[in-house]
Amino acid sequence: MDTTDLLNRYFEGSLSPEEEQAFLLALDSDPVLKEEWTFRKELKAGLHILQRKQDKEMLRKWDAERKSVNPFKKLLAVAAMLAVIALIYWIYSTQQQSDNLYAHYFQAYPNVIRPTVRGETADTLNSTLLQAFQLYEEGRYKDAGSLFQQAYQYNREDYTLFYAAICQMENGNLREAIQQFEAITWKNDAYALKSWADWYRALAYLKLGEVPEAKELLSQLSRENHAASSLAIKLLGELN
Amino acid sequence: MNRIEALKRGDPSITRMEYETNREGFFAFLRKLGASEESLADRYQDAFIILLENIRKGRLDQLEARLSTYLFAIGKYSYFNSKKQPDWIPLDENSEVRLSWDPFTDSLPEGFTEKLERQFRLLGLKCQEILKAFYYTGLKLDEIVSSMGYENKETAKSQKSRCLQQLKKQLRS
Repeated sequence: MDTTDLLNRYFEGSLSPEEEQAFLLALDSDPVLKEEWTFRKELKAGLHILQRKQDKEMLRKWDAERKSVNPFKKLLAVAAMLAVIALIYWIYSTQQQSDNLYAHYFQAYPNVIRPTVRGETADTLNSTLLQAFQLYEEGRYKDAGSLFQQAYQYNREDYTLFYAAICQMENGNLREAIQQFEAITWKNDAYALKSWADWYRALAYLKLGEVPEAKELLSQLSRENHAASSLAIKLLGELN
Repeated sequence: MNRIEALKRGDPSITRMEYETNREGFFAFLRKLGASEESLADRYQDAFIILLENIRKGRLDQLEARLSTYLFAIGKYSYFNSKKQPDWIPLDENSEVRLSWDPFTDSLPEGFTEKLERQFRLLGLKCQEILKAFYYTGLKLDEIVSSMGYENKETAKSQKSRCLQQLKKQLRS
């Protein structure tokens, strides 16, 4: 085996213990081999030291970057957290105010269409409507709402939809209630319910947290000459 | 690709992620052992360098413990060793996770490392690659043939020999 192979195998660590022992002995008697071995040994150590130095520089740089970035990041995190808290508080307090006002002002519109007569039989033409109002007055708004919807199919009266929408509000279906109020064409508003419908729509928007929409409707109402106008003015004052 | 493979290939984002995610845990661990606050950053850097070196050398290819466990073990034994001697050197023995580390403390000729740093950079990339693979990473010539795409072992051996002679010449000039 030539000396190059011996050197390669020594540095590969693939010499047997006997071969390694012989190799180390040969170093003492062969100055050229020893010089080459020393050079390679120094090269190996040198390359390790250089790589470690390079790694150390890289890690120090990362640490320095973290130190320089962290105060800003921390400040940013604190600012973001405060902003989130403020936003949550604002949303909460606004919603709380809306909920309180809604609870204060909302009440189901009374039955002004046809006073319910207890025990009246349901075999008349208007039995569905009659039953709807009975349930409405008993506070059974879910069933009442369905019957108002059914009644509308044959009487086509705007008030039927009006009461159906009130039932939706009572059932907490505010978005559906708004849609229902908006779907009423008011061809024959004999009971002056249109302005009340706007009033209820305003309340529904308020409860949904859509205050600008509520204010817009209340503002319109406040300019009318209607029983709902004074309520609208009062509520607007509390919102502003 | 698993994490060890990514670290072996020198993926910078994975390396940094590994460095950053274990940092606080390592600090807390060494604090418990009694290491001083001002020494923690240096100790962590050094432990991480040992980790990287052992990964590059393929010593952790079959690691069954978690990488962080290995890293913390390096820190632990480095710390205890540092209490015995001022220039601390991690131990290679008596670890639940076997550590492997050659400190290369044999004295090198005056100014050798600085000169090597300059001259090594002047070598062609192919020479830098093969010399580093053999003398730093510890790949055998057979492994270099397959990993670096040499035709055969003789070609790789000749290339390495030429590169060595060139470097030696540069260092002597």
